[in-house]
Amino acid sequence: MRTLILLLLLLAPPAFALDPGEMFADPALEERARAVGRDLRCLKCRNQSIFDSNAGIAKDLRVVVRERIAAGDSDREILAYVQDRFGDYVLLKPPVAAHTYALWLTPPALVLIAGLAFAAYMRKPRRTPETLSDEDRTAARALLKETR
Amino acid sequence: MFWLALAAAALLSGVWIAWPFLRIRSVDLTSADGAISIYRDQLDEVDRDRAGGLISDAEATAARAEIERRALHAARSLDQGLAISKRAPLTAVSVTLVAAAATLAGYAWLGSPDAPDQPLAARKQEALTRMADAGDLTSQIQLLIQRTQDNPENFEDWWMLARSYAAIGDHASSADAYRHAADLAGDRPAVLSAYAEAMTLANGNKVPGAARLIFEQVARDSADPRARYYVSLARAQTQDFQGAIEGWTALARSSAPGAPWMPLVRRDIVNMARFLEQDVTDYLPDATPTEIAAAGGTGVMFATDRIATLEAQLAKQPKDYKAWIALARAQAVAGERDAATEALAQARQHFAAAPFVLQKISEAERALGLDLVATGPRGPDAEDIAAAAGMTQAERDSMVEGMVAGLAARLEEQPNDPDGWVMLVRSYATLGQQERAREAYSQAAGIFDGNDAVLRALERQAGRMISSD
Amino acid sequence: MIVEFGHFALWLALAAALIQSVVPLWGTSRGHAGAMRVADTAAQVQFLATAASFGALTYAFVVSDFSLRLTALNSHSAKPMLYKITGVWANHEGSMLLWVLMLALFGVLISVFGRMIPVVMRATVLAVQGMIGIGFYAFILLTSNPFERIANAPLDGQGMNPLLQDPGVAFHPPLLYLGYVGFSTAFSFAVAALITGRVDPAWARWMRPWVLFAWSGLTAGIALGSWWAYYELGWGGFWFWDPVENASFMPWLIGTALLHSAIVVEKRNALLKWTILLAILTFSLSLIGTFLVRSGILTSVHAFATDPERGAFILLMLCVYIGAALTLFAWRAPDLEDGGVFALWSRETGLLVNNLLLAVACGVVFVGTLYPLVLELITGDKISVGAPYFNQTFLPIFGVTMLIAGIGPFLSWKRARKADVLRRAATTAGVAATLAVLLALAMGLSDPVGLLGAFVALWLAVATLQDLGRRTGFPNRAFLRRLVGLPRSAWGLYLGHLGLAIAAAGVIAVSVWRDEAIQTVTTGEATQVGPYEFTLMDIENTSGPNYQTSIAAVRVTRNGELVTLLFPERRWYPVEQKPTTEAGIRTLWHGDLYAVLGDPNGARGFVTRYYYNPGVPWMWFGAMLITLAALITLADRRLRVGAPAARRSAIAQPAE
Repeated sequence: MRTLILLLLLLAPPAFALDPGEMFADPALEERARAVGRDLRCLKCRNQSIFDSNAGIAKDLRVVVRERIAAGDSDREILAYVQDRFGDYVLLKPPVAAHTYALWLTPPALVLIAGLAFAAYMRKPRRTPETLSDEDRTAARALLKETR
Repeated sequence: MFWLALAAAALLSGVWIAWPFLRIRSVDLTSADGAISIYRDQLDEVDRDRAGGLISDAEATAARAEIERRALHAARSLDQGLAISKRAPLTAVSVTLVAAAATLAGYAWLGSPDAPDQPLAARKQEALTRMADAGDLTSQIQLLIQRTQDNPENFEDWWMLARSYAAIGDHASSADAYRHAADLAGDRPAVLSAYAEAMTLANGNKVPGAARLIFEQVARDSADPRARYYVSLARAQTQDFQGAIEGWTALARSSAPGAPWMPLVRRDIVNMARFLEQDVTDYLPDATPTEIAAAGGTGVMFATDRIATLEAQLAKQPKDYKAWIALARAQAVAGERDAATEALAQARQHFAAAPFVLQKISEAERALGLDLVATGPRGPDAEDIAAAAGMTQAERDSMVEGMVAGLAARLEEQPNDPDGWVMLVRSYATLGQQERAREAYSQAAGIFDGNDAVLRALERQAGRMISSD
Repeated sequence: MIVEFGHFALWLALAAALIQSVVPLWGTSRGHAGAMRVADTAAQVQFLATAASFGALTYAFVVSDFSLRLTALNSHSAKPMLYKITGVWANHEGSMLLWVLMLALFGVLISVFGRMIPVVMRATVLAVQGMIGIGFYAFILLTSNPFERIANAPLDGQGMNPLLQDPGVAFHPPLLYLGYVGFSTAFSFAVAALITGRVDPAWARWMRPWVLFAWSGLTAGIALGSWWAYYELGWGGFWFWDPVENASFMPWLIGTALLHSAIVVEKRNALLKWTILLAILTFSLSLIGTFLVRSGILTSVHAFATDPERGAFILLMLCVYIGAALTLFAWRAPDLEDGGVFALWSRETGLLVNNLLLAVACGVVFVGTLYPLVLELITGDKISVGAPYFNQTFLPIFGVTMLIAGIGPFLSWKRARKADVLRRAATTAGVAATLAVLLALAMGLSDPVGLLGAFVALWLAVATLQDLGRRTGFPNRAFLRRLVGLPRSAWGLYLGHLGLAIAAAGVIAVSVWRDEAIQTVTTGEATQVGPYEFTLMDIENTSGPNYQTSIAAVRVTRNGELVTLLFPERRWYPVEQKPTTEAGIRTLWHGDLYAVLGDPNGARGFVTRYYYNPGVPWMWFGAMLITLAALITLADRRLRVGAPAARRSAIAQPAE
């Protein structure tokens, strides 16, 4: 069997994905499978979800998702199931945990910093511009009229 | 010479760069009045907005005041100085030399000044020779064409060219080449009859008048069997059936039984006897029972024979896509269209993993008019792997063998595919067929002889798998 | 010897860049006019040399000279001519050469069209351009030399990734680089401003056309790349938040901020330091993008290079350039003086807030892109940051940005009348909400997120038209005359914002309301997709110039009436041993009909995927409108760098 798979991999052009045979007949279940699948990464692709890829691994994961749904798992249980086997890397939406606090906290922190910086900038006292003396005004008008 | 050109280019560029130092006097404003013109534009805009009612009078006045204030500030604070310089020949020379020296030194370090351009068009000869040596007929023909053009007086080249054309089925070109060969050979009978044969084949196997004259003359002057055969064929084609069968019979009698043309002659005698409803043993005293039956039977007999032979052959060795196609063709000729479709379907299963063969099968299907829907090329996918898990060992082996046979077939026709050869060698090696792996490897090494890059890749990627021997 | 001359020319370009970065600066410190003008001549030579080098490499690809390692590895004699040429930059070495060609092009353009820029500024800008050039020429020559020869040239090359053999992706890199590299001008102007201490409205006006030009190229480049993914990858997806995509999106976001803050500098002499910082950051992000794609730190379709030596070299350059610029900024910026004062309710504030939001949005993309890499480096943990993360963090921020972009033009400079602005914004909100509700009722839409998105897009469109109406006095009789008389930069504003609204509407529509069907069909079998019926008519096997292909004919009808025929393809490239998918697409005004041909399945069946993608044409149209807006603004008389010659004062005359 090992030889066979080796050979298949050796000779195979990338397989085409999302075989209709793997789809649920029930649209509601199919919709759920899609929703869960959108959060799972095709492990060897660009940042594509398993529903956006032709790769074999994406197909295998789609099958897994459908099996778990058929087995009656909740969405959360399915994600946990896949995460247990493939690690955090398979989740397109990283889990909130010690090693991702910085990732999840950065956006609100950036908004906060931007807000504070804005407030500080607007509150900074600024000197009101001095008014021009009549003499200067005449000079300025002459300058601006020049070669017009 | 090349270095001289480079040095000249480098110096010229250096002079170009250093040109400002060679001008008698350069004067530049270090700060333009660009800023002021911006304020003028802004004043215009305030006027326009006011006129359009977008801002109130008070706003317009305030805006104008601000612009005036800024303009004045800009005019007073900006440096209005000039930068001036005089001609500086020494600086110019040093800049030029630095530029040229740096360029030439850098290039001398990493460049390959001795390597000429090698556009592919200039390497056509090399490419053709290599392909021709690997057995590529088209390349051989190209080479022969060149040689006949360079030296049109050489009989051998024309002869070879004609034969090569015949081998790829281009009989018209072949006839043309034979004509040149015949001129050079002083109308040697064998050459003349080959010429006339090519004309006949080019004419869809109908002997044209000119060819018939040649054949008749050759047959008169010599015992050339080819000419004698075609004279009879020409008779048959002009409704002189009795003359034809007698001519063939005479040829058969005067030839050794093992002569290479005998099967053809005997076949034609048998067919003609059947057509004339005569006893074949009158002409062929040593006719075999099959021949006797054939002479009395119908034309389909041949197709049926062939079908049986092919079926037997395929039962033993199913990994021969050409045999499958031949079988389908025979069945189609025999009117068994369903059987032909079925044969092609079976062939597809055997070669499901070999896109190239699938394409050949589809072509045959189209040629035979069997196609309603042709199947696209297809490789194994995850589904196949999954399906393979449920197969018996025999089924699995069959599937794998089909894939490998397809690859080998493709490489036979399109040998210029290094990756394909690597795959083939590795596949054989993985299947434990060391003999074939080695064979494929040496075949590939022959094809890419002299192409070090490919040979190295081949050695690296496939050589290791067969070196255990 | 053409090829070798190309190699030589690249060294010449390096030498010219060296002189360009040293002599002019010496000239500015001495007030030596000749030395400063060397910036121009060196930029010209540098460009000609780089162009010659690029031309030589192109020649090698065109005539299939496989004595170059690069052509042997990346080209093939059987490739169509178009892809022989585009193959020049479809690989690491060639694309870097294109990079420096763009850099040299911008240098020579500044020297030619920047005659009105005073020589000190121009010389300093070009010197900085030269310094950037040195790094990249050295990088190419030392680690990625495209002119490396091989002793025994093979008779044919190894081909080119067939995914890249496509007109969409063929012209994606040049446009993208036009943007990436174009931002080097902003960087150079910013650094020159810090060196010379001169930042004023004139400086902003000199810099803005280059930023606009680069930004329009980047916009078109991103759209083209997205379009390619849409029809070539065969899933109807167009944006994956992939690091390679993000690498081009980050400079776009900050570049957009820069574009707007430069207006504030020009009009109001305010936000000077912020604008300089943005200019430095925009190009820094372009460099980081180059690093991400070229160092091989990512592995994807785009990341060709995998050599750690290259990665280290680029990282070093990154640190030197960005570090030096930021250090210079920290040192010199405190001396710069902000001029214009503005109230809380003013156009300046609107632009500043949008700037901040764009910067935050860019920061979010930056963190989302680099966090997994850094985390893996430090702890070894591998995580993915994909669409769900960006949807939750980036989209809300960008949505607010769009809301403010809508009403920004309502605010007048310096001090706006708050009551007026609020009254107009209320009208905008009312109209947009009404339209969104009508849309939901008419089309039977219920997805709340989608409707919210639709509201935001409608808001921006309504607000933009509303302001255009006010500015032209619609529906007065003078309206048409005023419309025609609007300055080009105003057209840029309205078209750009309208384009963004349209593109956003398209993105929302296709993300939320796409119809999809996947099935095995035999010929003659029909499938219902939304309101459309797709029927597989026929499949034909044939071959192209360097591939074999199966082409399907798919008939699409709506209520029994023929809409169109689609011809999706499955191609097989024998040289490269790779298949590609060519989707069959028919664009209607409201959406795309999209069909993909899969593998045979069963006896006579084929797997097919059919989509109705509403809004997709709007995305491309919106992106085109945005690009066009930038080009129209560029054509504004006031931005033309040549400026009116009549206004040149008498002193300037002896200069020539």
